[in-house]
Amino acid sequence: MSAETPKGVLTTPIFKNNPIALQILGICSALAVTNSMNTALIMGIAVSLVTAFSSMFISLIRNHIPSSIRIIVQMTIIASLVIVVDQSLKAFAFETPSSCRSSSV
Amino acid sequence: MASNNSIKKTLGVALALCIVCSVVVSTAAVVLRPQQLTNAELDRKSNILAVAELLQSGEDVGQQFRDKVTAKVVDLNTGDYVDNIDPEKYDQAKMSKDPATSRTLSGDEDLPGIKRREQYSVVYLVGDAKQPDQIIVPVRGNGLWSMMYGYLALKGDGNTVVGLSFYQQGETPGLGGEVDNPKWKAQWDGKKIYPEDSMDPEVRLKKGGVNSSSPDAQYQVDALSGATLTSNGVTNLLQFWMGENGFAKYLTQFRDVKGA
Repeated sequence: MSAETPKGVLTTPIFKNNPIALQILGICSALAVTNSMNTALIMGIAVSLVTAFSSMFISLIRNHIPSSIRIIVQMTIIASLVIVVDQSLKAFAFETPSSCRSSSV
Repeated sequence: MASNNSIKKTLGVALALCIVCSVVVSTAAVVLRPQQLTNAELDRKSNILAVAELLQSGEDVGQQFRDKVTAKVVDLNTGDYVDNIDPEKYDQAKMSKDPATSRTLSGDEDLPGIKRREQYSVVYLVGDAKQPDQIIVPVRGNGLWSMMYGYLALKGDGNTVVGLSFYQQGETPGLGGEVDNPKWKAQWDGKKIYPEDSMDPEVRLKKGGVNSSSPDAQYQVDALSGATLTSNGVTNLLQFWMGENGFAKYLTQFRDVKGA
C-alpha cells in the first residue's frame, strides 16, 4: 500500500483517508476552530503534541500492558496528556478561545 | 506473554498507571495555577477597559488599568461607598455565597436566577471619583445554558450606556453566543437605562428588531435572532442590576448631581 512509503505516510491522511472529509471524525472540533487561523494553528499544534506523546508513552510500556485493560490504559494516558495541554494553554495562551481548548479532547 | 495477563500484573499496571497519571495531572494543575489566575485577572481587567472603550492594544493591561480606573466598593443596600473594604482583595464571587454578606432573593425579585445577592459590590470609576466620566458595574445572570458574567459601562450621568460586554458565558455558539459579537455590542452605545425622573429601568432587548422611529427606541436593543432565552436573560439581568435590588440606589446620586 502507498502508505508504506514516506510520501504515502504524509499524503494518505490528507487525500485518501482524510479523517474529517472521508471518515467524518472530529467534525465538531474542526468546525469550531477553523474560523480563524490562530485557533486552528494552536489546536493543530496541541493535537500533534498529544498524539506524539501518547504514542511515545504507550510504545514505551507496550510490552507490559495486559491485554484485558489495554484500551483503558491507553485512554488514561491520552486523557492525562489532554489535561496537561489544556492547563498549559490556559497558562501560556489564555487568549485561545475556550471552544478550542475543550475541543482538542 | 501469559505473565502479562495474570491478575497480579493487571492490578499492578493499573495501579502504577493511575499513580503516575494523577501525579502528572495534579503537578500540571498546581504548578500552572498562579499563571492561570494572573491571566484570568488580566482578562477581566482588559474586559473592563474594553467595555469602557479605553483599551489600547499593545500596552500593558495592568498598567492601563491602574492609570485609568479606580475601583471602589459600594453597599448595594444604601448606595454608599464603603471605605473599609479593599476592592483589590474583595472577592465578590465568594461573598455572594456567604450568608453573612449576602441575602437570598425571593422568586419575584430574582429575575436573573442568581439566587443570592451580595451586599457589597465592586464598581469601577473612570476619571474623577466624585464626578466620574464613566461608571462600570459588574452584572451577571442566567442565559439559556450558563451564568453570564459581564460588565456594563455607563456615562457619568448614571443613565447613558457606553457598552455591555460579557467576559464569561457558555451560550450556544452562533445563537446566544452572539452576545460577544462586536456588531451587536456596538448597538449599546448611547442607549438609556432609565426614563426621565425615574429609577425604574426601562432598558430591554426587543424581539423583531428595534423600530427606530418609536420613542422607546432609546431604551431598546435588537434581541439576538434564534436566541430568545439568552435575550430574555440579558434583559432580566439588566432589569435586576439596574433596579432597586441592584445599583439603582447607588446610581441615583449621579443623576441628582448632573441634574442639579
